[in-house]
Amino acid sequence: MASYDTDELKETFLIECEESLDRTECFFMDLESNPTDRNIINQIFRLAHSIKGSAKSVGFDQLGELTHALEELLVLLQNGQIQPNQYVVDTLLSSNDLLRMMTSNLREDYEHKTDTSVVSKRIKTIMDGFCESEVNSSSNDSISDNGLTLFSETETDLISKRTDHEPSKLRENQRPMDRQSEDKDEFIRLSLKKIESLIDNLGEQVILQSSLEEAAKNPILNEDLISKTISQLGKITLDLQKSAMALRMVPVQSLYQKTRRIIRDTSRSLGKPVEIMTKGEETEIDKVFVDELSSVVSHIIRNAIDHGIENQEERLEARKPERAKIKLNAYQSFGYFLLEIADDGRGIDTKKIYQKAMSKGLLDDQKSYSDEELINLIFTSGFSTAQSVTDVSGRGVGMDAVLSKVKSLKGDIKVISKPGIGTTFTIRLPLSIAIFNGIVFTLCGDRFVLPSTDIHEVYWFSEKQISRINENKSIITRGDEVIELVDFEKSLGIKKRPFNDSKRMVSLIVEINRKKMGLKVDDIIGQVRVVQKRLGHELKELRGVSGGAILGDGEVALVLNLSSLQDDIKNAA
Amino acid sequence: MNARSLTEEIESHKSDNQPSQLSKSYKKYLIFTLDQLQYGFPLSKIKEVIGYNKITEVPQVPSFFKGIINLRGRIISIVDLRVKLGQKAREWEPKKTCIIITETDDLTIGAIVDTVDEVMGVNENEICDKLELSTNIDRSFITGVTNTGDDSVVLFLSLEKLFSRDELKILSSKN
Repeated sequence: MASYDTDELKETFLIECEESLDRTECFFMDLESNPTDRNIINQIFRLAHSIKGSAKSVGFDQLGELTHALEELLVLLQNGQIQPNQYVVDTLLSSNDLLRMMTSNLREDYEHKTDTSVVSKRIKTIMDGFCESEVNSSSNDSISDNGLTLFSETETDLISKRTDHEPSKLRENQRPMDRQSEDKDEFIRLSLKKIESLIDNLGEQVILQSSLEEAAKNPILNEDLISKTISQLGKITLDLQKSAMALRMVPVQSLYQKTRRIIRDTSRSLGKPVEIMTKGEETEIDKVFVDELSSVVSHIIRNAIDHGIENQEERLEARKPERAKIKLNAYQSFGYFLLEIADDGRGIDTKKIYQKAMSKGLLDDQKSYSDEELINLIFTSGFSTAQSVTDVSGRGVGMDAVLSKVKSLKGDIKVISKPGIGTTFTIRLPLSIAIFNGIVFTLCGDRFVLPSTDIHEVYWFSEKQISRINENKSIITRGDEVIELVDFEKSLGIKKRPFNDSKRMVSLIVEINRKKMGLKVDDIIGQVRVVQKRLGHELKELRGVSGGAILGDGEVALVLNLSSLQDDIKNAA
Repeated sequence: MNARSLTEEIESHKSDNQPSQLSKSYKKYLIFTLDQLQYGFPLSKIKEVIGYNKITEVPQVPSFFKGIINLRGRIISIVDLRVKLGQKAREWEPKKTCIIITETDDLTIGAIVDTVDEVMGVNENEICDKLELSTNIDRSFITGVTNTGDDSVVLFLSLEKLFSRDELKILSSKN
């Protein structure tokens, strides 16, 4: 029993610690732009102090020690004995990263030890530097000058190290987080108001249920009452569903915060000063999306800073302000969550895209393409217009991964780019990952659901339109359009044979890698609002399936995930 | 016995833990029948017993994996225990057939059996781990056997072995 209690304490501490670290990270960045604000330092100090105390009391000594060292550094900052210059803020941020890594490691294994030597050394350098400059101050009046030279030496060293290791380090940091979201239970901070609304609705439902039971004792006499109560019950159930779903929703703020850090680090390592502007922090979004979106957003941001934003000389020439701007704007509209990421860089060069795509044989030289079509080519796999491969934005395995990630969340991306003015990415997602519109269809006698966002159109055709190219490949012709036809049951690995008894056949037209394909299915049942459920762990490896949906008759249908089926569909075609 | 009263009985047996305090080696089992042979699952791992529902088939899975059902809003995977134990598959009689919902560490799996018979308390020393049986069922899942008189036996199965992640793995080979 005792060990269970301490385990629970440890878990609670680690969760709280993660929250505190999110906040300190923000404060550290604030400090960088407002070095004289005492209030910020005081807040950081309080957070660090409480982490230190709790860490030691639950037995995470290593975590406690590092926070202790950090705290000593903060005391010097608090007293104004050292200034929050770049080196100091960098050290603070990297110790924050390290603490976060430690917490994440500790959540997996309470005995885990993390290598803290690099950060400890940095903290020590600053502390020693302070001591030395203090000693020097007795003989030399120019403390700050002396201090600065002392730091600049290590600073250049540090920056060269940063550019070398930063991207790989970032990626390393991301991996344990992804893993954590799969295996570990996650936590959410809830407002009491949301819980109260849930309980109110539940209470109402209980009352209606009991009055229904009472009325059912004499159904003939109470016929009206019963039907009235049932319709009330239906309304309450819908409200209940809404309040239950609201529990999953969190403000997009935490995503902004992660983004802010990525912008800071990327702009620093590329030497392009960037200013971030945010709007709509309070817009709510499914908790799962926040975690999933951060990789998407950071990829877009890195690309924007690396390729979109011009270097200093180019900006001056174009009479643009020296500091580039990246704007984040989140809002809800028509039952969707939208996030705009806009930069004021050079825009996407459609001519370059055209040349590149032609050289890769992606385009038909007889046809003319709109700018929109050309811009969308950036989402094709293996396509990258970057002149040089940089650590920051990868080697052409980027935007297609971004698109497939967003698709897997049942959303889409739009890009608008104006030459010389900038590029705006708009990510559109359903408000919740758990509820979305889907098309129900049958295949080999079973029912399946595909999210409506994945389906371009439902196309009915006759046998005459099919031509078989070879044993495995057939096409349908519609006017002068040719669409590859895929036996969907093969891509899904269904062993049974499809049944088509009628002459009319139906396919779901989808886009795979910007190419239209027809997935041949047996029949279309209709469109439904799907509440997606998780399948058991034993079905985690199931290809092409993202979960299950309970249909109107109480039976289960599998919800398919097109982006994870891409390869199977291409192979079957 | 119908499924609902059985579930209630399972619950009452689980909460009634007196015998286990008397003797550590005393354990309760849920006894069920499959092809005229009786088997036992440890009662502590049983969540409930339900009647036969329509099962939705799932692609890419091994043949013993029957599919998934909706159990009050939760999706549960269903295994054909007969096939899992290495016997030949047969059509189930929906009216008689039961699904036993089991719960081990992190997996909740439903097992289809012919009938669910009773809850039985067994002392450890009554269980023999030497198997001298003439059946062709897969032995690696059997933890022991006990004699219930009149020549009939009960085979005890390990849910951890039967429904481990490795045992239930999706066939990863393509096509």
